[in-house]
Amino acid sequence: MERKMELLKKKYLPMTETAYYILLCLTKSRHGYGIMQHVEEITNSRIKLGPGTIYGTLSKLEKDALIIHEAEEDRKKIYRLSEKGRTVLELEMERLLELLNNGKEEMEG
Amino acid sequence: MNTLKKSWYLWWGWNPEKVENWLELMESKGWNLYQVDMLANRFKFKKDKRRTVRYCVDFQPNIDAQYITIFADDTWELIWSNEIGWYIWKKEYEKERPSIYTDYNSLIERNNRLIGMLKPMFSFLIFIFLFLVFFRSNHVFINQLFWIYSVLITTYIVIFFQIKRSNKKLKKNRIKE
Repeated sequence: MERKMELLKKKYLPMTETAYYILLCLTKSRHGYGIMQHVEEITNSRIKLGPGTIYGTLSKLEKDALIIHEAEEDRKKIYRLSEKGRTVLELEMERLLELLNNGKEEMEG
Repeated sequence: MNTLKKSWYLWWGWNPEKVENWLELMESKGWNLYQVDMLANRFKFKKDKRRTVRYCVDFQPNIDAQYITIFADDTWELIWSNEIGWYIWKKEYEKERPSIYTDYNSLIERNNRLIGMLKPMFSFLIFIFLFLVFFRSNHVFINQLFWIYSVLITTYIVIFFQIKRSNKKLKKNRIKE
């Protein structure tokens, strides 16, 4: 279990913006296109994920059990963050916070 | 005036951008694509309106139903696909040029899927080749086969090399992500 988490950390951290935002979107249940729309919305259209990127990343995240396929609606798979996924996301957020805090401290100090 | 046009365009799996851009250029001149055949090397166009259309090539040998659904939701239209796993997607746009892949990782993975498909075929070629080397004789037919296989294997090695080179380039760019 511990070892598995180490492998996941190695594989996913530091995280790409794509993976980060997909995981973040899946704190609520969403389907692929729903993720695309939400990412566009919360980044003020700075990031528009392509469907190929979404499809590939979702498949990878599901294989590594960071997200789970929860249900199906109109033949669309609905995904949600798993416990493991939440842990990885939190680790990434800690890392980002560290970057930001150090940045602020050094730039202002 | 000729309103129909048939054009051949050869392109390689590790560099589909070339054919994508060419199709887009044709559309911008008013040549609207209406048919693709001969393994996506022959394209038929009809002269009509000038359009801004993005074409994207994908390689996906194993997909589930979600693949088509996600693309369709984002209003991409599938205009051609084959059994091996090649897909050509189309989308009209106004300002921002859309893409099916918006990160380098996904492009590297597309190349890797291509390598994954070629590898077993390559092993098979090598196997037959070794067999031919072993039984090489003055028999004309065997000798001809030997040369045909030499050419095939060389072609494969060149293709592998090109895909690897394309991946190297993509990995260099990935640092930005």
